[in-house]
Amino acid sequence: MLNRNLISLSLMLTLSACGGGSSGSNPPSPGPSATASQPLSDAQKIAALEDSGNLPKLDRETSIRGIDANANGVRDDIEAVIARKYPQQDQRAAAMQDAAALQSALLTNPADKAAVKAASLKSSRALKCLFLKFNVANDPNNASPAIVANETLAMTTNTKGRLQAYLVFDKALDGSVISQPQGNTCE
Amino acid sequence: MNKNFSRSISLLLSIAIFFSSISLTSAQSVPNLCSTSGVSFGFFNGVNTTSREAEIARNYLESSYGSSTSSGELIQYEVFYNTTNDLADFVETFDQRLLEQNGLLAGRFELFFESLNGGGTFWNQITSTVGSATEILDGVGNLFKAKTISNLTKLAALFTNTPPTSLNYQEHRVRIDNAALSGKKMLFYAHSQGNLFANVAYDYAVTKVSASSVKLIHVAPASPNTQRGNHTLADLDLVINGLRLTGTVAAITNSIPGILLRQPGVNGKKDWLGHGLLEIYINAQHTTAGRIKSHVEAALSSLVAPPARASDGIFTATLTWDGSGDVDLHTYEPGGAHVYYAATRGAAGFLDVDNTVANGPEHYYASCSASSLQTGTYRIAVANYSRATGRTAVVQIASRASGVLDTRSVVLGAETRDTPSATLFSVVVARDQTSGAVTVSLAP
Repeated sequence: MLNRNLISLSLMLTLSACGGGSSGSNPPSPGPSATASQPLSDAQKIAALEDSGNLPKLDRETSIRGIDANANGVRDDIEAVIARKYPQQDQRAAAMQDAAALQSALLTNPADKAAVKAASLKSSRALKCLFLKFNVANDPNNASPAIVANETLAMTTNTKGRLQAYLVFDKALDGSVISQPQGNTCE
Repeated sequence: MNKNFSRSISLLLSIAIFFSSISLTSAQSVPNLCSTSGVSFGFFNGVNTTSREAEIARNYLESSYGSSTSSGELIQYEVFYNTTNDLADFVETFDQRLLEQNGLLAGRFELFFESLNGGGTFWNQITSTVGSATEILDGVGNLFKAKTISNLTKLAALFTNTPPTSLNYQEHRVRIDNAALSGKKMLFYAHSQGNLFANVAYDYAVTKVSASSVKLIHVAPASPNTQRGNHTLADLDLVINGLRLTGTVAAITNSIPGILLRQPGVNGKKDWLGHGLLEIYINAQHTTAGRIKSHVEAALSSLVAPPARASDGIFTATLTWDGSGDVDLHTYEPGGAHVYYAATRGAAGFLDVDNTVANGPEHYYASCSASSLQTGTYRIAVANYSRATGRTAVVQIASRASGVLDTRSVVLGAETRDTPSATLFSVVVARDQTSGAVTVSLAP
């Protein structure tokens, strides 16, 4: 209930500041701006969630790589979300390491078994790092490593092409033994 | 020593060794600081689980059951990964569902994985703001449940008719070979469809070690075959209950709360299907968690270490092949030493297991001792010494820090005696000049 109230408040503030808001990048278009007397359309509500940061505003261009202007291996839209959500430096670094590993998995040639194994190893190290830096206990006030990892996967596979690329990579690991890496795996 | 005479001695030795046809090489070994004890914990993941999700589960399993046993033995957690073939097909179904309600959520594939679990943080935001979107989520969930049950039914039938071949899962098998060789206890922990694979792995393992050295724990088994170990099955597991309608499944052991009363699992997520490992079965709010933990603890306390016949190393190379014949593992160390059956001791490592009869294994380790280990490139090759033409030779490289690095195979040509016919790996060992830390990687 608290979350729902916060969302509603957030929506109101966002809409009053932005005049209804629009993701500008997500179909369908939310349409004309709402006024105080007009109820928001469902599309406008979704757009407002993005504008307020309650939903990530994601790049949906057709390429697998997406936009990575600073060439650090993490899509700029995902980097922005990580920077906002994880102000603690070591947690932000761990989330970035994981996002970079996942992005590199999507860009790996699934027919190159050695490359697939190398990408998998990189991902294993990044996932373990998440478990070293985030609270494993199921604490609603703190992000768990699983939540961080799942949200990064969701954002990274946010288009049909990216999702399919990930699933092809994943299938290439069928029959693998994927070991828990030893030691501190954070970079 | 005459090569043929040496081979004859090896053959006699090999016959004398119970449970194997391997001979332990007798030259003085290279100094080595790696321990060989411990437990290999193999997690066989469930249906519709990506490798990433399986790895997340592996981390939670380590958090739940510890990194060492009560007697201080290290536990090495590993995913023995099996994929679900039809998961990619579901992307098309999902795409169509997103077009509902005038395309409200069209193109939002970031909701895909959450949808499979009946929701998540992004879905929570959407459905709490746009209530009607729940219909899309529920529609996807119902389709996915049907798809999951269908997949499991097909897979169970596949195992009944044509179990996976050693070629499909050769990396699993060589890892088991290596655990058996190095004297590790083996604990297999299977969830959902992973039970089908774990049963095969268990049956293979007990051909390598005695049954006292390997245990299997069944969680939400998608198979009635749970006689290899204790099992746990929740009454409201809708996936297994769906299987029950079409065939035989294991007996229910525990009750879990209905969907509305469920607390999030260790990963902070709920599972309306009642089937998730993290959401349901090792959720501390459910009695299943305690039952499974007691099975793990009982297994860990009762496992008996098999005799160690090989050493761990900073990295190891393990060779097996598929039948009779004599295949040899050759290692060319950075310093120039050529290590093989006729020269088992190198400068940096040692061929500590040789096989001249059939199947392997052969085993080389690079020393964990800083004074012996050489940095540089180790070339790993194989040769058909005799009687192995047409055999498939499999070599697995594993490092101490990262586990299995890769497994490759080659079909052997004509006999080449002491001359390797195929180089399968170039293993690069490097040492950081500042920290002294050693890294092992495979050259492209």
